[in-house]
Amino acid sequence: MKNMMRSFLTVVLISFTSLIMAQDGEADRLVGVWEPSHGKAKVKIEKINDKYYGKIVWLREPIDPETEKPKVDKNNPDEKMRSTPLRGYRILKDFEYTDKDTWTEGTIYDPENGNTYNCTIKMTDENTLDIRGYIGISTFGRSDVWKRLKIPSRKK
Amino acid sequence: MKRLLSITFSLLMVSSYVFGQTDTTSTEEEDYSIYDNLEFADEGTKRFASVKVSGKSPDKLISVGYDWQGAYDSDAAALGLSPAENADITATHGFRFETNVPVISKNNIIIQAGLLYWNTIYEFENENQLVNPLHRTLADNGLNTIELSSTIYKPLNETSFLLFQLRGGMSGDYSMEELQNTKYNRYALAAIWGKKPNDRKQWGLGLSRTYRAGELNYIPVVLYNWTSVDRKWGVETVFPARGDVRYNFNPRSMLFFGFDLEGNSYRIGNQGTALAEPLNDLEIRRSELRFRFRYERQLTGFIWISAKVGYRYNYSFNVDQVADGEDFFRGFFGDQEYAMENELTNPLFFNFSINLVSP
Amino acid sequence: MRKMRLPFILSFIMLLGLFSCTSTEQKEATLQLKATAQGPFFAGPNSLMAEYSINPADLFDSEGLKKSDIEEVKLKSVSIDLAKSDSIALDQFTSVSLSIVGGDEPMTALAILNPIEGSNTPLTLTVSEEADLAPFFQADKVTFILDWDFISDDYREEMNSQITLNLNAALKSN
Repeated sequence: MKNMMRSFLTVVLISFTSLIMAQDGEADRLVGVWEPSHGKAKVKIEKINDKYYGKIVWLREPIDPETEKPKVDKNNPDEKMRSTPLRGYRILKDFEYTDKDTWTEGTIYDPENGNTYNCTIKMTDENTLDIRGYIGISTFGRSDVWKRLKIPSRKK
Repeated sequence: MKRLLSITFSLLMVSSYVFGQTDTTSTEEEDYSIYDNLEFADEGTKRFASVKVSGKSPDKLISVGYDWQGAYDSDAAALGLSPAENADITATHGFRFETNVPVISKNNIIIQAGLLYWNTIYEFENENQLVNPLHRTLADNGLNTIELSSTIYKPLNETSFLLFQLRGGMSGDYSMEELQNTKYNRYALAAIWGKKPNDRKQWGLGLSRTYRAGELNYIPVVLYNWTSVDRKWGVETVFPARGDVRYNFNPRSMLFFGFDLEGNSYRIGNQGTALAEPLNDLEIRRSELRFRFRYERQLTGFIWISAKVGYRYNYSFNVDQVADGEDFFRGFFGDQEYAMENELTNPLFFNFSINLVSP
Repeated sequence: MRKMRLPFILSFIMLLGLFSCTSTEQKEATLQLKATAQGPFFAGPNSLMAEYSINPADLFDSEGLKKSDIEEVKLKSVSIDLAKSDSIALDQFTSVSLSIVGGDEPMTALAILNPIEGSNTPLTLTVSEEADLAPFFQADKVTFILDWDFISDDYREEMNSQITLNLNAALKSN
């Protein structure tokens, strides 16, 4: 009886743990390097304390033609923070996995104008994200499709 | 039981270890050069020219505004038994509401739908003494425009795109309680093929069917949007509809100098104005060229204000007889006579709007 | 109209009464943290983390101070120092920035130094004017994220940095 009880509990525990881990794995599919449709940047999404953050890891034009120095966040509403480098900048912040293939509660920052938008990420397939930036309610928004990037497969 | 507890405990430890691992940022950070040569995970994924041009003023999703023109003279021609008449208009003003909201927004196509309502009220100096039917209906009813529109942006590849705009609706002296017959509806169309060589430049050429010059016209369209390298200067043009030189104080505040060409064919439905047959199928071919300064700035978040001040030049205020709403094309060479050839002098105007802009 | 106004005036008076009972006290505090991460590190920003458990009474040296008494916490200054034991020098970095994350609050950038010039330590960062730490201090713990922007090459060892935050807080005092 003791043994039965023990194996039952073990099974319950294992399945419970693997259930959580499976959910975690589902949420972690967001992790990776992605390219927005404009192709001007590549964004790496990573996980910090259960939430997802995306930073710019590559810029098509890394140098600001005006200053001839690496681009900085010159449109930041907070003047003091305008010297923050754009490469490395976290433009996606605080995303939580809420539902099937959807990450919400986050924001997206547009370095072009210094605006931060509410944002919802929907994974339409393994390699495609529908990123919707919006104002208050998502009707007044704009969607962008991001594609997953990978290290080139070696060709002979 | 002890063993049970210890198994439970070690399982918990294992799971917390796993979670502990995922809870922290990966410290295996990047060597940036590795991002240079990444390729799409999906083979066959294409990049498309984005509709956005760096530094350009934001698109307006919803706009609520007020337009006001100062005093000017109206010289209306004789019509039927009614004599010609010169009248002083003290002001022309009205409420303007426009929306243009994306319905489909994908990398390879953007479809927007819009609704427009413009109201124009004419204030005359001696309203009770007006006899000319054109003046009478303007004084009594003013003019209204209701339009639906759709804009389709279709990128073909990384640098080329097509742009279509379709708008249709009714313009006239009807009231909102009693709209005019839909057979008087007018539609305009534009099709543009364009290139976007870089993020700061977009140009295109096309053809349009338009009422901007008042009467029906088929004219070429030139699209040109450009921003300087330092993001301070720019050009925003959809010729002949509008053209602007832009100065950006910053991405949230900009000054423009340029023009708008506004026009439509307004049916006179004779509301409260007795006109003898066959002169009740009249349309005002109204077109205004507005040279103006425009200032736009972010008020808060996505709410922007826009103020225009300038000079309104009357391009056309003639009246055509359009039997049964079946419009005709006069073009530059047609010899169809106008039912009325009217003259307006040119006042200053201002326009103020509050807008919800697109992210 | 008059009917509408009366409750409004009454509540306004009540609010005034409330405010007269509580006052706000300005207090400064210094928070010292050790941020750490295990190598290898590569070119680009690498995150070092420092966790901090919120204890208002301790931080502001004020017995009985509750989290809810913290009305506003602004940054006066932020300085960063490399751990002496680490075999890495300042000329290895182009910039350094500090952010905070915790509770349900959005990650917030606190301070930046770009570019890093000279070799004098500690580094004094430019602090955000807008960042308010008070909402973060309602949580049990927060994480400070220190991003060192590496110029190149991998540094394989553990890396540690000392973060010193000088805070200016507005606290409720009854």
